[in-house]
Amino acid sequence: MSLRSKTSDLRKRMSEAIKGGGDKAIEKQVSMGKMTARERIIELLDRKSFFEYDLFVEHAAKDFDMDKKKLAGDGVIIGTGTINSHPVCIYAQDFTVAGGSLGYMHARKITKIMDHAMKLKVPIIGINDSGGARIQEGVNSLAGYGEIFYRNTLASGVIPQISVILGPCAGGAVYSPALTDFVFMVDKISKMFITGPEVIKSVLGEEISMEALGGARVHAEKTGNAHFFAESEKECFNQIKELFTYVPWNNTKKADSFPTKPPKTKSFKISKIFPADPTEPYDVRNIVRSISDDSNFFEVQNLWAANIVIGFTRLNGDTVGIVANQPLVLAGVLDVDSSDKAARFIRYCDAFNIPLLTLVDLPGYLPGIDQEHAGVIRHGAKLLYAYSEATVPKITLIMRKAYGGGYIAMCSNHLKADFVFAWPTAEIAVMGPTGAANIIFRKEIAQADDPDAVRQQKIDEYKEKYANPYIAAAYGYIDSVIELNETRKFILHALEISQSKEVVLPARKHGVPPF
Amino acid sequence: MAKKTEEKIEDNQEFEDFRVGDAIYRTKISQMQKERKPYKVPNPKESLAFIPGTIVEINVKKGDQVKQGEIMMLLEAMKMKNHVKAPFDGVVKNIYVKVGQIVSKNYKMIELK
Repeated sequence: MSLRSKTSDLRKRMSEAIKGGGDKAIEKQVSMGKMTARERIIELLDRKSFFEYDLFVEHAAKDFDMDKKKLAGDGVIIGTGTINSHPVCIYAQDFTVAGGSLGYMHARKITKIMDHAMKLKVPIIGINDSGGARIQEGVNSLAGYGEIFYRNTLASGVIPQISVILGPCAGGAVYSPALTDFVFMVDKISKMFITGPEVIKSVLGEEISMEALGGARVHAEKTGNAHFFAESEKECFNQIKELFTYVPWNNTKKADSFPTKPPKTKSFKISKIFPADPTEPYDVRNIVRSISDDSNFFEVQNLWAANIVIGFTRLNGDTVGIVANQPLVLAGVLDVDSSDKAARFIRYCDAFNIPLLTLVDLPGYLPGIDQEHAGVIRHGAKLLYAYSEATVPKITLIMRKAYGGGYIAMCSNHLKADFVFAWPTAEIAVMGPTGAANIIFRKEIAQADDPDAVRQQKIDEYKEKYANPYIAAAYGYIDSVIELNETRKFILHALEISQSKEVVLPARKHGVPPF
Repeated sequence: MAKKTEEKIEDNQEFEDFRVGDAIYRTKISQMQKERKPYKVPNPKESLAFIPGTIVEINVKKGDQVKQGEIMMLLEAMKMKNHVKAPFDGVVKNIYVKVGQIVSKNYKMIELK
C-alpha cells in the first residue's frame, strides 16, 4: 500500500467516525433544536484550535449482541484546544451515538482527558448530553461513573471544572456536574434529575414534565444546581467564554489582568443609587458597578437565592469576587439558600486566588419555622467557615445595617477580614434599636406612666448613640469610616497592598466544614 | 444575562413591606418566600406517610383496639415493606387509605383516638 492509499484509508475511517450516529440520528438531534457534539466543541473553542483524541475507540460490550454493533467513538468526543488563547481539555457526549449512553470505554475516554487536564493543569469542560448508563454494559457502566466522580473530587480546587448540560443528564450522571465548579444550562434543552418523571409517576402517581422537574429554569431559580441560565446554546457558550476571562487556569495562577478603566459614574453614581434610610431598597449590583472597572459585573447564580449577590468583577484590572447582601430581595436577609450560595462561592474564590470584596447591608437572618427546621444553623455556619478559612485578601465594606450574627458572618474583622471599611450610614450593633431598647430598658418602660412615650424616647436614644459605625470604629473593628465617593480609592489601595498576603493555617488533613 | 435581570427588576418595582426583627423594610418578596406553607402543629394521633409509597396491607378497621407498636398497615416504598405501627394504645378513629392506594409524603393514613 502506498502512502497515498494509507492516507486515504485514514481519511475514510475518520470521516466515518466523525459522522457519529449517522445522518438520521444527526437530523433528529438538530430537530430537537440541539447542535451536534462536534459542533458544540467547535463553537465553544477558539477557531481551529480543537484537536481530537480517541476517535477510533470502540465499545467493550459483549453481551446482548452488542459485539455486532459499532458505536462511533463510543459516544463521546474528547480533545484539547483553547479558549481566549488559553489551553483547555474538553469532552462532549454525542447523543447521536446510542443516546450518548455511558459504557466502559466511553467513561475511559472521559477519565483519560480528565487525567490530562490534571497533569497539564488546565481547565476541564464537560458537555453532557446522555441518556445515562449503558444498561447492556451493567456494572462497568457504574464503574465508569464512579471513576469520573473520583476525578472530579480530586480536581476540585486545582483546575477549574465546567459542566455544560445540553440534553438529558439523569440518575447518577448528575453527580459529575454537581461536583464541578460551574454548571451551565440552556432553556428547554437541558434536563437534570435523579429520578425522572416516569419513576415518579410509578411510585407516586404524580405527573410532571421533564422540563418542570429538572429543566434549566428550575435548576437556575429553585434548586441552585445551575450557575448559569441561557436561552440558547450559543448564549451559553458566550457565558463560558466570559467566565474564563475572570478565572485563572489553575490554582497556582492568577486570572488574566486587563487594562484598568474607571467606572461609568454617569450611569452608576453611588449617591444616586444608595438611599440612607436603612429600610429603603436599592440594587446592590449597581453599587458594585459604581466602583468596578468600566462598571463591569459578571453575576453567578443570579436567579437563585437573589437575596445575596455573588459574582466576578475587575478592580484595577484584576479579578475580584463579590459577595453582597441584596436589599432589593427579602431585604437582603441571610437564609439557608443564600448562605449556601455565598459560602461555596467564597471557597471557590479562595481556592483560585481571587480576592474577596464583601458588601454588607442586612437586617439579619430570615425568621421562620421553615428556616429553622431546614437547618439554617448548619447552613449559616458554612458562611462563617468559608470566610474564616479563606486566606485570599478579604475586604469588607459595611454600607448600612450590620446587626447581630449577620454582622459577624459577613466577613467581619473577627473572621479576619484584612480591611473593613464603613460608610457613615453604617449601623453596627448587636441588634436593631427597637429590640435593643425594649430589652435594656424593659423595667423603665414597664414602670413608666406613659410606657409608649418612654419606649420611643429610649429607642431614639439608642439609635442616636449606637446606630452608627463609630462604636465599632472605637474598638478598631472598623479600620476606616470613609465617604461614599472615596470607596473605589480605598478598595483599590487595599487590594494593591494585599497582593503578597500570606496566611498559614494550622496543619491538618482538612477541616470538617458544616456541609 | 446580568443585564437582562437588571431590566426585569427596573420595570418591575413591586416592593412590599417585609418585617425582620423590629423594622419593616421595603423590598421584593421572593417566589420561595411567597410559596412557603404555614407551619402546622403535628397531631400525634395521626399517622402520616413518612415516605411516598403504596399501601399494600391494612390489618385494622375502624373501631378496632390497637396496642402500642402493633402493625396497623404496610406501606411499600423503594422495594421495602414499611411497618406503620400504632404510636400508643388506642382505638382506630378513621382510616383514610385503601389497599393499593399510592400516597405522597405526609399523607394522612390513619387516625387513632
